[in-house]
Amino acid sequence: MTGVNIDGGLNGHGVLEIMRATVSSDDHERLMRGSMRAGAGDLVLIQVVDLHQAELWADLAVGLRIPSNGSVSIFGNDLSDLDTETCNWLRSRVGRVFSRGNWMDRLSLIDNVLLSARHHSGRSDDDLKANASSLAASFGMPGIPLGMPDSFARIDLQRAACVRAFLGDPVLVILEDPTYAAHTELLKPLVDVIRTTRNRGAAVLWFSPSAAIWRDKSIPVTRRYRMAGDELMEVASR
Amino acid sequence: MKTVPPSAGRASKVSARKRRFVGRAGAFLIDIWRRVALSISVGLTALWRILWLRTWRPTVRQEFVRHCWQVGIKALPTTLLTAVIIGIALIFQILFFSRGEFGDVLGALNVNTLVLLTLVREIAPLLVALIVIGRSATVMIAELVELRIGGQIHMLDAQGIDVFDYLVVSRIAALAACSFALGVIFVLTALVAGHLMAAAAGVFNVGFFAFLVEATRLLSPADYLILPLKTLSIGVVIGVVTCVTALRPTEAASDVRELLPLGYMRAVVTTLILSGAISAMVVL
Repeated sequence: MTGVNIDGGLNGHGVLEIMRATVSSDDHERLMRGSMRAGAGDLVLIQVVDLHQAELWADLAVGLRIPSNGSVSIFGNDLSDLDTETCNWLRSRVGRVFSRGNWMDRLSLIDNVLLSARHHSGRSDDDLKANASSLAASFGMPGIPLGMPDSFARIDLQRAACVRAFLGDPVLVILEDPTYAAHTELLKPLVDVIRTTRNRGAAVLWFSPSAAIWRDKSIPVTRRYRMAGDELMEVASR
Repeated sequence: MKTVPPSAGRASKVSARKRRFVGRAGAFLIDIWRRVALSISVGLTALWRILWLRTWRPTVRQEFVRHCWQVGIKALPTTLLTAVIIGIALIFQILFFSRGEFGDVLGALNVNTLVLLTLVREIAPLLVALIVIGRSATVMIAELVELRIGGQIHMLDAQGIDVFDYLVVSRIAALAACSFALGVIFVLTALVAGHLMAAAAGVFNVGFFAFLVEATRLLSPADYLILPLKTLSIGVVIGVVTCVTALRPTEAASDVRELLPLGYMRAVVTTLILSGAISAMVVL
């Protein structure tokens, strides 16, 4: 529909490339710099100081923030060269667990989970619900609950957020501290789903301020980055 | 050595105060102009987007239906009650104007026509607008402010959902469609209530359908145009004011407690100006 190629295998580009980008924080008081690359099948772990930093880099990755210097591209398509409609289409192929504002209170949880898929894909509702239910089962839920978001425990909301992020075979998944408040329950199913997603050729970015996640050897990380002051630095993977 | 006279110091202070005043007044006017320009461009873009088939994705359609329920169906009891009261009140006005000194003054003027025209041209669009603003637009402002502050608009953006279509176009379309529907329902209900009241008071001897035929005969083609024109455009304007107030807050007013009364007042004033302008256009 857009003329944008999102097949990394065909054009040889990484899924996401942030090249020497400079971006300012919300209060415009700090400038953050850095480069990042996520190839097909990569799981990139990024240790941030707080979740504002995670949101900032995640927004940069999907073109919601424009870098003052440098460039951001998905499959070689520089986001600053794309029109709004094409950017929206690319964002529809990016799954994301948000650190805030995950849910719209007036929609049921299942409507929240299916919102983006319903908006962008022509798939039938039954098909989408079946896909969501199967993912929900992977995360330890019997299905996607029908109730309103404020009636659920934090852990169930976090599971549902993960279901939404992986729904519809995204090419890039951005996780902003996905195991927050549910580390032990969510870690293993999340790692399993990430493995399946990587096998399809998608890339996963995992932002976390937690040192425990950084040290956890059960997470099959392929690249590591860390915020050192205002600079995003690549750290050699062990 | 030269000395500066005391009067020169006072003059420079007065001139500085004047400059500050002019600067503030200028900034205020520029801010108003920017807001008006933004509202006009939002309204025109929304009208343009409403016509596009691809705007109406399933999620936008769902939002439109939800707002129609909120604006149209939930406001129906209030609209019906208000219309009944107005219909009865207008019959008493006809009785009042038809007798005594007013009957002599009005003379050749057809009181029934006058009242009917007032109902269709002014009362119905304005009262429906006030009901829609009080009943629904304020709820929309609160909802949009919550979404903005809670980060949900950012979440929609990040998922590639066009926020303008999903949040703004769906609301403006629903407000316009429901204002028109409620306007028509208001006029019909007021006529029915008025006829029942008149029949009960022994004012008219004609049957209901003969009364409706007479009423439709009294209206000119311009009167048939003015009700949809007013209600649709007022609906669009209420939607634009609601969305601009909630999504583009000023520095002085940014939370829901300040934006609700501000949005209400802006919507009422804009509606009155628009209604007056359309009436003037039709007369001229």
